[in-house]
Amino acid sequence: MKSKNLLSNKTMVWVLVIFLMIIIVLTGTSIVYLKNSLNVKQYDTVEYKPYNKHYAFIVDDKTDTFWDAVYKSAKAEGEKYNIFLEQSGKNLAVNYTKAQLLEIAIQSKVDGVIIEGDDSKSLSDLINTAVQKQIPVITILSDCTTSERQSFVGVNSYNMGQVYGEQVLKIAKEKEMDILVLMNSNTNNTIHNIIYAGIRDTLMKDSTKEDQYHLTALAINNKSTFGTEETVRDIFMNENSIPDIMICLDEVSTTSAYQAAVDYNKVGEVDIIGCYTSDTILTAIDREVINSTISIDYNELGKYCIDTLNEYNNTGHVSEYVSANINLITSENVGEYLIYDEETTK
Amino acid sequence: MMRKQPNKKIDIRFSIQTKLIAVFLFTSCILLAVNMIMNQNMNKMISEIDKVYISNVNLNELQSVLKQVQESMSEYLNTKSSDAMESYYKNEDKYIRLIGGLNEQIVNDDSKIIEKNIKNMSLNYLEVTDKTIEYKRGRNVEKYRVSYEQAAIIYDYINTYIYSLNNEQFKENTKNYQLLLSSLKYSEVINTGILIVIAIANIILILLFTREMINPIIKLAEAADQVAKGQFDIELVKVESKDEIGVVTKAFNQMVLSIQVYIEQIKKNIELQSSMKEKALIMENHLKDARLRYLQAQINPHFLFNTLNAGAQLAMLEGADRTYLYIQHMAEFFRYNVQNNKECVTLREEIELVDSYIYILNVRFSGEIKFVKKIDETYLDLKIPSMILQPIIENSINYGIRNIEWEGVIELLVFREDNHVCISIRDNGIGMSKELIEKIMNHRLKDKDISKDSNGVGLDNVINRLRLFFSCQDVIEITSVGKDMGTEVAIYVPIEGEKSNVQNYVSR
Repeated sequence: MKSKNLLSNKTMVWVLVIFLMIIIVLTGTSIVYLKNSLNVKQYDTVEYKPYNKHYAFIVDDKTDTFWDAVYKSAKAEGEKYNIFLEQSGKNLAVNYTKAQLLEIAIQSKVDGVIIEGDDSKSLSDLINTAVQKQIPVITILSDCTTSERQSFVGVNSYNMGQVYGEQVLKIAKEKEMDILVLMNSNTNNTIHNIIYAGIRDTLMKDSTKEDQYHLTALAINNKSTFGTEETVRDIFMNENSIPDIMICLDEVSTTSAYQAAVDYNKVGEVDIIGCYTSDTILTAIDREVINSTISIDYNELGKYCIDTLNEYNNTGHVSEYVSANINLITSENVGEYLIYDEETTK
Repeated sequence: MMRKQPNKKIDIRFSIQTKLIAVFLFTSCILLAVNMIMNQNMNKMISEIDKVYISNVNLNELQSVLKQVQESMSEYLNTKSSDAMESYYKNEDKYIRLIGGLNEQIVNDDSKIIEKNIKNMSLNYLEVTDKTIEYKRGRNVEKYRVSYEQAAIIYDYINTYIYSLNNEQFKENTKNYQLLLSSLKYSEVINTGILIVIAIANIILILLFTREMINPIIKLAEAADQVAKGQFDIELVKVESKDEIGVVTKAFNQMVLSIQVYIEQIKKNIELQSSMKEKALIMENHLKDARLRYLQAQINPHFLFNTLNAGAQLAMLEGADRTYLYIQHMAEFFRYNVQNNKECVTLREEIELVDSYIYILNVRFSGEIKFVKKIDETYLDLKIPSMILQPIIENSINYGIRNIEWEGVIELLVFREDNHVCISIRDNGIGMSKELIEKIMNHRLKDKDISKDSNGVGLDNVINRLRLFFSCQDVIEITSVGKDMGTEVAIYVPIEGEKSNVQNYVSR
């Protein structure tokens, strides 16, 4: 009989075994698949890296790519020493001021604070409170001179002004020039004043050409939303007010000035000297829309902050002032920065 | 008995029902087990989904308790009621318990750091609120106001932090939720797929199992079909299973065997019947043969008989009594032959014929033969085949006592011996050799041995008819002690069964 072989006991056993194996494999794979698809972050199961110290990093404009870069370099430095650097105010539903964030940091009992200083009384008082509560405070880029902060990490603003001034001299040569410096109306910020002084002093060094340069400063209220961009556009819209050289002291105004120069077809007429190195700015220098930009070495800045805090925590005292380098980027040397930037973004 | 029991135990019988139940149970169990595993998985996922928003729930609770702390503190500051104080301490307790669950380690996760900040701020906040309550109690108006404001600020910060954390976690949780939801959908599809595959596999399995069970039935049906077509000589169906089908198969095999045996028996019976019919035909044939010989020997018995009667009457008229008697006997003798067409007659009639025959011979040979009869008369009505005794006596006279020099005596004896009636005819003649007796008994006597003087019915014929009539080989016996010592021919008629034998014979 044909079916006899098919139905012998041996065949039946094999059929059963294969059948069971299929079921086991199917069920197993589906369970494994589901388990994998269920790879959801669970707070109880994820292993976290523990840190020894918790520092707070407080700046005014968290969205600024410059501050972001500084924060990243500082964080990377902190990792080396097993320090967690918190970007205060990030992910918060409310936009707190620096003072408020500092207060929160104090209340949160952090082990150290890195803060973009200013000369306001409230901030100074809060810094003093923090210091009283054994929380070391370091100001970054702009100081809070009246406070008892442990140290200041920044660039020499006067020096920076001198660099700007020299660049103006290079552009101006013998011609008569209108020079506009875009400054923050945030008057507590002394940096810009010092930079301005640096520019002025450089230009005035040559007393013979005193009348050749008409240096003016425009205060931009960067507290009002989109104020910077509107102000820059206003300058370009009014033909009479367009200066020959425009000095921008932060990233937003540089980018705005560049965009406005392109939009109003003033490329070549206005020489823009910017600040900071974003992709846009570097590209603009490469296309010679922006004459030059001054880059603060944010890697150094971030690194020095952590190092200074560590030094204070370890030894109890630290140098009052730590300086980071500044670089002038022109169309001649922008190439290496572009490559470098590509590398870092990678 | 005791030995057989363990054998019975080993010989487990699974009924078809048990087998079917086992198959269905097995497949159902597999289906059920897989389903259960799948369901468990699903449940796990669903509970996972339930858990997704638990962190939000916890944060909401934290926030509401914090609010209660702040509110109860404010109320106390407002009213200084002991109720408010009680509720403040209660809420504070609760809040402390809740923030105990928050992270306090410095780890590389923003949410965890926010949790740590919330915890630290909360501890500060509670310190401040405690102080505020204390100042209020101590009526230190200036201090409790400052302290209250500070608490309010911190409260605000904490609230913002909790709110923000809640938001962040909600985003994360929603992502997880969607992930879970999509995988749940996938798992539903997979589950259905697996169940379908298993269902198909189960059907195949059931098919195979039931075919195993049904196969013997099919074989049995084929065999039964052959039997129904009249082909009994089939191969016996192999008994493979020990279930009901096995029982039926065994019974069927037994039936087929029985049918074969019965058919064999019926065949034998038919053979027996035909042989008996054959016997009857042979018998009839022999009788006819005897009668034919008579007809050949005697030209016309009726004519002879009538002639003899006429002679007898003439003799009586002439007063020749002896002649009359002689002719009368002759007439009797021939009448017997003519009239007696019956196959079966009484012993009495046969003896009368013998008497007539002896008388005729004695007249013929002038009283040379002495005939002695010793007859038990109770057996005179015994039924025997006709034309039996006369040929035997004729034989005795012709071959036994014809040429002897002493007086020939022929004895006819009828007596009972055990279950038989013995009819014995003895002579004191020359006797017979054993070879001759054997020849006669085995029908090897040749025609030339038969004397021309005989009436034609030979001993051979007599023996055959006797044997056929009584269906017995030993019905006749011829004995002779030796030369000149005489011969005895004995016929043994069975008393028991005699009647039935005769009846059987007659009915045919």
